[in-house]
Amino acid sequence: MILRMWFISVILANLRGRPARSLLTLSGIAIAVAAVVSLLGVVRGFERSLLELYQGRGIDVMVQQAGRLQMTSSSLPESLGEQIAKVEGVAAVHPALIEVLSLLQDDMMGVVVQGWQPESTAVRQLKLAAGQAFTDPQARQVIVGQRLAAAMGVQPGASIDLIEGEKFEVVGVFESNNVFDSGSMFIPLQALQQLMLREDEVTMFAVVARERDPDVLRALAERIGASDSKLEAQVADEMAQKSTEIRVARSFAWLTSVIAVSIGSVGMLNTMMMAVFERTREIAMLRALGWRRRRVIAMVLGESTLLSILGAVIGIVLAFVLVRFLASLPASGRLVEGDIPFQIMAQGFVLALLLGLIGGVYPAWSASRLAPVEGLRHD
Amino acid sequence: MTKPTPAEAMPLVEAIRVTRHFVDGQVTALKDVSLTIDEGEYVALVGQSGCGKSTLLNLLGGLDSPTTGSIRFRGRDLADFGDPARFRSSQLGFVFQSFHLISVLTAEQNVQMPMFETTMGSAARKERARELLARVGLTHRARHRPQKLSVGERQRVAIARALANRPSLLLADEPTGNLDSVTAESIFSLFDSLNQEGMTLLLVTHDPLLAARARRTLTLHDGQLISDRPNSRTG
Ligand SMILES: Nc1ncnc2c1ncn2[C@@H]1O[C@H](COP(=O)(O)OP(=O)(O)OP(=O)(O)O)[C@@H](O)[C@H]1O
Ligand SMILES: [Mg+2]
Repeated sequence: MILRMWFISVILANLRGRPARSLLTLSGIAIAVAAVVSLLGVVRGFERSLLELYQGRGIDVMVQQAGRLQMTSSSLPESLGEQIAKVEGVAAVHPALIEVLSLLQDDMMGVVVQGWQPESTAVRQLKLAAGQAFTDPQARQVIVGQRLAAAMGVQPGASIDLIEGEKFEVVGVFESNNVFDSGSMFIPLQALQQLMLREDEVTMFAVVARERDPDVLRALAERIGASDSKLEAQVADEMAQKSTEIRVARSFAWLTSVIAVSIGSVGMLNTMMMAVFERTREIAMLRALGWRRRRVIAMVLGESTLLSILGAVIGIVLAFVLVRFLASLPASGRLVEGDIPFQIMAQGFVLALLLGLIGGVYPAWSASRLAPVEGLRHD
Repeated sequence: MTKPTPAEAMPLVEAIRVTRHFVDGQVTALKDVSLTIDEGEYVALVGQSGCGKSTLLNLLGGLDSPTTGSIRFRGRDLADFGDPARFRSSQLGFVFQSFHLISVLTAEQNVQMPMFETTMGSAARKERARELLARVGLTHRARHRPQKLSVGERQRVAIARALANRPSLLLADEPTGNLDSVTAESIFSLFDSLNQEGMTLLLVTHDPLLAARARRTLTLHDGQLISDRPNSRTG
């Protein structure tokens, strides 16, 4: 055990003795960690919301058009629903048309509009915070998620244009912990089909199974897929992970993280190299006084590690504040959940430790190789 | 190594035909130097600037290796130590010609640095540092950093640091070079009492007063040992 408690005082004194450089490195690490943690946190939030979207609704298997990577580009005839209902193990089939509209009002871009039959589980399970349910299957009515309602400033009784000149009445506002849901609106399936000129067309079928066992569901999905070449079925719980959007977001987040980490470790390397270079005599002198190589290594690594731990703490706090802030903005609040999972914070922490170690190892090693005689050289 | 010599008869430190070249042999700092220092001796090393005094001190302390010849400490060749750090921390005290205190640490922390290689706990280290600072008359300066100290005070902190691990051999390069005569005198008597306690001292000095306090004087000239004689004690 070379890094005993007392050592901290020497390490701290060394860091405090060069405040400008310590602070610069600290902020570099903090920014890298904040970037990584908030990005991964947002993506993870996305994933979780997407997952809950299906789980909360008693939807077991999702059926889409075969070969479509994006859910919204899938298109199927509504009549296929009857065929799916006949597949063994299917309890109920709910057709849905999902559209992404940009509303002129308040410049709302990319609002998800979900068309479902009013008697479907998805609609019946909506928790209304205000207003009421749809009155009939063709009603030009919408039930708006709370986050979206807040962003648009609408309440039950308001009227909105889904497409210019096409007025719909807001009959209800529903609450949901899920950002996707809460940032979207529901509309009777037939009303949406008419509006989009996609009569008898749907994006997907939500299938309720007779049995919930994961293996049974997987087998059911396969049977449905095999029943018609146009169909592709997936167990709902597995959809979120396979969705293209999530995969793109994930690789983007990782790419950004890798860049942040590289910059962070180069910064750390630079700082620690400088620290060692500046202190050549001091370190050689410590060797002359009898410090072993490994104690010199422990001192330099201790400094870089302490910097990265502090940087990580600051970075995680920054990420937390940033994500909270994004969640509170009307523009991004529809998409960003306010919380960062603990696991992501832990990853950020480990990452910062790695930065400290990677950036500290070479300088520590070269410090330990300094010839002690340098310490005695008189200028 | 046929028969182990009894410890009492063994010199503390020995230089055997030591030569040290620098810059690929263009500079000869030491030429065929042999000397023996016994346990408990008090030796002054004198000579002109550039004659090789610091070089010899470095070699005796295992900070540098001779080009030819060998250095032995209690009969053991220093070349046999992989990293003689442990030997230095347990046996040697160094006072460097330019004191090399760590600027971001207080006097007290500087004095503690060598103790980090021992098993001492933090309380024990602190107490020992205070004790040593008291011994060099710097109790009131314990919490100051080197920049706040006068040159003489820094010198004394460096001496206190050299004593941290109760070395058996104290190697000091111009330990009173920067001190006024009153402070120098207090350091002289500190060395006297350390020697009386049994510590072996080898001091490089230009100060004839300090050299006179030693029991023996070695004189170097152009890298060669030209005289090695006991001091006549004038009382
Ligand atoms: N690392 C080195 N490289 C080249 N030359 C060196 C080196 N170290 C010492 N020398 C040379 O060796 C000679 C002896 O140097 P040393 O420092 O031992 O002298 P000194 O007696 O301690 O002098 P001073 O009293 O000025 O401190 C000098 O000529 C010096 O220039
Ligand atoms: Mg010298």
